[in-house]
Amino acid sequence: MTLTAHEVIVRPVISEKSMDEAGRGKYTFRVHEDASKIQIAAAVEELFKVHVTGVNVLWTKAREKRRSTKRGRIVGYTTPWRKAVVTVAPGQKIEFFEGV
Amino acid sequence: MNVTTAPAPHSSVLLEVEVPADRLDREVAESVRRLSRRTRVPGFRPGRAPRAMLERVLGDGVVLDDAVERLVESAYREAIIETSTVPLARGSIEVVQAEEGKPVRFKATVPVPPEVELGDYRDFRFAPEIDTVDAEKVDRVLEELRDQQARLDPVEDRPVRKGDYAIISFVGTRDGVPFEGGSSERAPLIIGDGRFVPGFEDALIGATIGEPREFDVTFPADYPEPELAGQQAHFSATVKEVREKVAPDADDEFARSVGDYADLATLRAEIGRRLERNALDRARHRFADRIIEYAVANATVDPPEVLVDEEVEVMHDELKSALARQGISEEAYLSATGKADEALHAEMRPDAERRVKTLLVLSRVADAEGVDVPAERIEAEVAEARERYAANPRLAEYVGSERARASLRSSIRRSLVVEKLIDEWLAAHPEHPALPHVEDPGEAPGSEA
Repeated sequence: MTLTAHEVIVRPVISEKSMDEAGRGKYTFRVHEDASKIQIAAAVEELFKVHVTGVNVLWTKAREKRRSTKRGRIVGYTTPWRKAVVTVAPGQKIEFFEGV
Repeated sequence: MNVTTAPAPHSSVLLEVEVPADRLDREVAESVRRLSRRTRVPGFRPGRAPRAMLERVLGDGVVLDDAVERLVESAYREAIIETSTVPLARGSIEVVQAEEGKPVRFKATVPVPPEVELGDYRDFRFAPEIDTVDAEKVDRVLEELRDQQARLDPVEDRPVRKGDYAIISFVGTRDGVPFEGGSSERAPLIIGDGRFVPGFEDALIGATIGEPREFDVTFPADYPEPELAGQQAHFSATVKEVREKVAPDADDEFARSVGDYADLATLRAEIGRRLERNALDRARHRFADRIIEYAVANATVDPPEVLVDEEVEVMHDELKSALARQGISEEAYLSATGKADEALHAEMRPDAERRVKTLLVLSRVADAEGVDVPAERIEAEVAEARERYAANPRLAEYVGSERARASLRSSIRRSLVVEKLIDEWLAAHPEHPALPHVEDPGEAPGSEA
């Protein structure tokens, strides 16, 4: 599947955990659901001009959400999405906050 | 921290403070901790968000502003202590430089107790002026007494005159239709007193009892009933009863009826004595006012704005309670005079400034004269005030408080010093008739420096 780098990398994930890992050279992104590890590595190298040494991917769980209304309970699920944790070569950095 | 002080107008001190950059850094770190604890940043537990994330949620510069605000606040307090400044109120602060990595600099203008430079307050050239009491003034009081004792005798055999007390019935119509409040069966009316619509009372002069009179009256343009203001109305009125005010003759019998006086001469003598006593009392008051005016005019004092502002508030409160006593609401007063609060305050300002100056100068004169108020005197006044406000527990509690005591003390002290100056002047001028001592010159409550 051909995807441009911007299509592969949807957005960086900003959370306590991801910020913590960023300090150790591991950057977390939400990525396209069909992107392969190889595509992710290539996209990150292209966008951030870094050398990628490893990619781990996973699907988040679709968690059940229940809500009570006048007409009864509504049951739904959170959208599952594909998360990638990219390890870059030691000493290299990605500036998250300058926009992707 | 580096503080320089310089005097500023209106009895203030200008503090220029410089706080080193590393204190700002520490304060920024503290601000991040504080702000992140009460800000929800998605993806972070409260208190865990780093500064960059916080600024994304709160906006750029919020962290720095918070840090500077708290840093200036604490540095201001330290500067006050370090320079031994006695602030009358919180100073106005202007931040000059607040950038990260640079020292924080700010200016604070702090109002301080004003220096009062006394001029001369003893060597005045004026003397008390005592109003003379003569037979004419006695006559006038006698007239008033006679008027108070006057009887109202019924009159039947003559037409209505000016000054008569009449009872009338009347019907008022507009375009042939009676209007509300325009009719009465028995209305008391003093002819020529001007209580009724202009022209109404005049139209009745010369009427005899039972004689109907028809006339037109135009309501004045500022009549309180807007329906009627400026309108013309027709009245038909009939005088039902007429009484005439008859004052008793000024004779010995009248004197005996007024009180325990043997004859008219005794009464006149007593009136004369009272008038003289009042004249002396007034003379003492006027003399006191002139001495105060003289002392204030010779003194140099530049009162801080806050004190004048406070005094304006005091004057506003006094106006409010004066209006309340007359049963006028403040809104009604403001709309009647066409003034807003701000205009009223601006108008009060010159007076407030004069009052503040007077209070400051008198307190300073009291210092110079070494006047002190005996504790028993204050306690006596407090006890009296407690009794007066017994019905109002909150007021009663206030009058016993330290603050009320202090303000009472300075108020008594100021009147004591004026009394002292008067008595000393009298002692130095034995040829001048003595002025009886006045117990309480009646200071307005609450107007304290």
